[in-house]
Formats: sequence, C-alpha cells, structure tokens
Amino acid sequence: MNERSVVVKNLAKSFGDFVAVDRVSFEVRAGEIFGLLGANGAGKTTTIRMLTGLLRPTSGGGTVGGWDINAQFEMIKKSIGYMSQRFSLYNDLTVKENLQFFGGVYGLGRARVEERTAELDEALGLGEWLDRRTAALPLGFKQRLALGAAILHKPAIVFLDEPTSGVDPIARRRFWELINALAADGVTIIVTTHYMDEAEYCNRLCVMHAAKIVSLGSPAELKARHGAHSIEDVFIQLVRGA
Amino acid sequence: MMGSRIPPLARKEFKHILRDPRSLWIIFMLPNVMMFLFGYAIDLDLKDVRLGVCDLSRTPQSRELVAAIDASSYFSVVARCENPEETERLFERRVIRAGVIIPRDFARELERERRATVGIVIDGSDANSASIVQNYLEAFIATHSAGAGGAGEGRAAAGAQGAGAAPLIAARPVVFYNRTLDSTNFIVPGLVAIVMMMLGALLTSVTIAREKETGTMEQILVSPIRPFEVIAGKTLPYLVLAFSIAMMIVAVGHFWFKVPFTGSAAALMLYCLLYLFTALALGILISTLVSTQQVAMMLSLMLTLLPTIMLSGFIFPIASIPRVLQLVSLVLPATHFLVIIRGVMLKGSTLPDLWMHGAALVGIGLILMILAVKRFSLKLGAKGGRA
Repeated sequence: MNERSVVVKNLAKSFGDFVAVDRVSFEVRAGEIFGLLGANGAGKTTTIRMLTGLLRPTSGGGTVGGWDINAQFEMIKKSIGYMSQRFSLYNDLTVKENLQFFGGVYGLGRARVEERTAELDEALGLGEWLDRRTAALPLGFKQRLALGAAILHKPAIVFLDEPTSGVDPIARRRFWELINALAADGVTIIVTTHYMDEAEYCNRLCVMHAAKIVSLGSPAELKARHGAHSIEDVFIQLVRGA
Repeated sequence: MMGSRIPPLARKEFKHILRDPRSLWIIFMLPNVMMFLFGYAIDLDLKDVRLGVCDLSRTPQSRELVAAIDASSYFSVVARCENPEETERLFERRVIRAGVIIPRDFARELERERRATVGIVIDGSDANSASIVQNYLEAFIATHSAGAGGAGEGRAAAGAQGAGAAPLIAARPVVFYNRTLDSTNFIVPGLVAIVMMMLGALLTSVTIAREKETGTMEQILVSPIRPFEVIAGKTLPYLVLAFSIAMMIVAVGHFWFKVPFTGSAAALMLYCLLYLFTALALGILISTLVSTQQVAMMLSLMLTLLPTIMLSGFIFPIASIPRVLQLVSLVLPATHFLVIIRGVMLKGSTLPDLWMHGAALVGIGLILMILAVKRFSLKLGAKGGRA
C-alpha cells in the first residue's frame, strides 16, 4: 500500500491574472481514498482537470500512475477513470448503450464490454434499468451509472469530481459503499467534495482554500491538529483563519 | 483489443439522430420547403406584365404594334389611355407596371425616316424586374419592327437606341443549355448548393456544441480517444445524412421542377461529397468557437446562408459584384459547387471538365479541416473550468 499512485509538486494554474491553483503539492498512495475538500472556487476541479490531462498546468508538475502529467497524457488517459461534476452520459441512450459506447471509446472489445456490464450490473444494482433510457433514471442511479462508465475499463486511479452533489443522503451512502469497495480492490480514489460528512469517509484529506492547500492529513489528524470535534469545525476554522 | 474508436462514436451518433424523429423530420422537410418556396417564388421570368398603352398615332401601324405586344405571353395590355398623363396616373396607382407611349407622328416617321421612336415608362423602384421589363420590351419592339420590315410594311427600329438606318438584319440570340431561359433551371441547382452548405455546417456544429453543453464532450476527451477520431466519428453520420438529403433535393428538382439532368450522376455524387466535406469542416470549426448549441446554430446560419446566397453566383452573377467581393466569392465552396452542379445538370459536363472547381473544393475543405482539428485539439489543452 506504499506505492505512490499520484505525486504532485508545485502544481499551478492561472487563467490570465486569475490564479486558480497556487503551487499545490501532495502525494496519494495506491488504494487510498484521498479527498480534496474546499468551497466552490477553491481550485479543486482545476487540480483534478490537470491530473486527468484535460488541462495543462501553468507551472509545476507531477505524475499519475507513474506518467508525467506534462507530457504523457495518452498513457495517463488509459490508466484513469473520471467522473465529472455534471452528469455526463447520454440521456437518449439506454443504460446499456451508454456503457457500450464508453467501452468502445476506451477500446474494449464487444465481449469485454458485455462481461464488464454484467459485473457492474451486479456491483451497482442496475438491474431492470439496463434497457431503459438514461433520462428516466433517478438522479442517484444516474450517478451510479456515471461511476460505472468511469470504471468500465478497470482504471487503477479514479477521479471523482463532486460525485454526489444533489443526491439524497441514502443514495450518497450507497455511492460511498461502492467507492469503499473499489478502494478495497486497490483502486486509488481522488474525490472532491464540499460535504463535510463525506470528508470523514476519506483516508486522507487535503483542505483547499483560495487556490492553496491549507491543511493536509487524515480526518483524525486534522481534528487533533485544529482542536476540533468535526471536519466541519476544522474547515470553518481554516477558512476563517485564512 | 485496441480497435478503432471511430465506429462506436458513429454508431452512437446514428442512435441520437434516429431517436429524435422530430429533428430528423425537420431536417428532411426544411430543404423541401425551401425548394418549393424558392422554386416557385423566385421566378425571374416575367409573365403577363400589366401594360398601359397610349396610342397617340391611331394608325394601322401603331394598332398592329399594340396588338402584337398584347398577344405575347410576356405582356398584357390592361389599359388604353387617351393621353400620356393618364398613363402616368395609372402607373402611380400601380394599375400598370409599365407604359408604352406611341407618339402622334409614329406612322409618318416610319414611312418617311424608316424608323420611329416609342416611349417606354417603367417602374424603377424594383430595379431587378424593371430591367427585365425594359429588356423584354426593347427586344420585343425591335423584333416586331424587324418582322414588320420583312413583310414590307414600313420598317421600324423602335426603342431607346434609335439607330440610323432601319435594321433589315436583326440580331437573333441563340441560347445554349438552358434553352428556354427558364430561371427554375438556374435556381434549383443553386438551392442544392445552399441547403447542403447550410445543413452540413449546422448539423455538425450543433452536434459537437451539444456535447460541450451537456458535458459529455469532456467525458469523451478524458478517454484515450484522439481528436481526429472524435471528429471523424461525430461527423461521418452527418455526412451520410446530408448526402442523402442532397440526393433527395436533386431528385425533387429533376422530377418535380423538371430541371434537366444531362450529366453523369456519379460525377455529381463525387463532387457533392467534396462539397459536403467543406461544409462539415466549417461546422467543426464553428463548434470550436462556441460553447452552446444556440450560438452554434446562429453562427452556422449566418456564415453559410448570407454569403452563399449573395456571393456565390446563386442569383447575382459574380461578374457583376465588386472586385473585392469577387475575391471573397472565390473562397466560398458554394461558388465552385454551383459551377459544378449547374454544369453537370444543365450542360452535361463530365468529371474532368470540372476538375479545377473540384480541386478548389478539396483545397478549401482541407484548409478548413486543418484549422478545425488544430483548434479542437488546442481547446483540449487550454479549456479552463474553475472550481
């Protein structure tokens, strides 16, 4: 469990004069659930987009799965799964067709897609929904499906950008059970959230505020360091203090 | 295991198209509606233009001229006026669209000088039809006088020119290809060019903009797929769709509007594909400039419809537009395709006859496509989201 899955060093991104991410550094071990916690606009999504090859860093760098994020995007793209903030599957396709499409995009053969769909069906409980149009799915289901599409090709590292926003607590709980199961299989999870209760599920947390990392450690360490009872208190202290 | 990623994308795109029957219906109906609107409304030929005649001469010669004008299918004499003022009044009330005034000494002059002048009043507010009416009337009177000369009944070279001696030999224009000078034969191939350019650019730009708008493009771009694979997979289905629509309009033009088809269908198909290539490339380029479907739609319509209608030679001959705009028309794919489709349909031109215009299409298409792929890949690296 000590293999370094993601390494980030002085990573920065600016859009014109606006600094979205300011020299951020952290490391994530394989099989770890690593949380990026912060308010909207703190730089979480920009960080994730740089790690997934969707955005080029302004300066600094790092590796994802051992590949350089400034040069080896193609290799990175093959080894990661990504679930974006917005639900981004096709509403006019059925659940199965969505999975088939993303399987095709990742170059999985037809048989392999069938096999993985069956596995995901079991893990995600898609059942009767498989042949229904995605538009008809309840939001909680859509989110699970989006996760399914992101892990179809069995990536070693999965990036989840606010995967549970807008979902009810029960669906959120189920979603986190899936994430835990993935991590137990050795998949590295990097997840952004602004739900404080979700932050508690992470192995380690990185609190971001105004483009910078303001604190980093396990939930217990953070609470101890800041003399707080909950992550929410830690967060409020950090943001007010900054 | 790592097969091409283009087929899954293309397959998905076909599903999108088929599952939205309303849009599909519009896509197929729109060109037909345009065909019928343009095919019937833009009739550049005049028929039964309402004419007022003021015959001050009142001689057999003048009456004969009036009767001949009235008998033609182009004009119908709806008013006979006592004096020129009355003609003017009718003209102002728009009862008549043109007036012919035959002077008092028409017959005498015809006898003595072997030529006579006839006055023509035309409504110039609609410059286009005015010039057509003028040409028709002049040509008609000239022909009539020539005919009258042949019959030995006094010769007249009437009209604006008022030349010296009576022309015993009149020019007889011979028109090639579009023998009846029927403007439908001219308009319909032009419409094929307009509809294909518009639909091709519109459909591709909107489909890519939609994926950007809903966020699915990001989900695709985070996968190992290459930009050209995305572009190829997304545009191939629309190439098929736009191509079948093009064939449909050509068929409607040929079978309904009776536009001749004298050339080879295979040649036309090949050039249609080249032309569509430029339209799709333009659509992709547009999609890289916008982030919503609506803007993509507006930009596509603006960039295709107006220049194509105004500058490609669809209605206005390229030779008659200002020099600078003539240069613009040279880089419009429609300019070249118009020459091609009119050539194939009306003149029976063959594939090699039109190679230069085909090469121009390939060139324009390649430049647009290179720009589009460059911008598309650039977007991938520079697009910024904040959180």
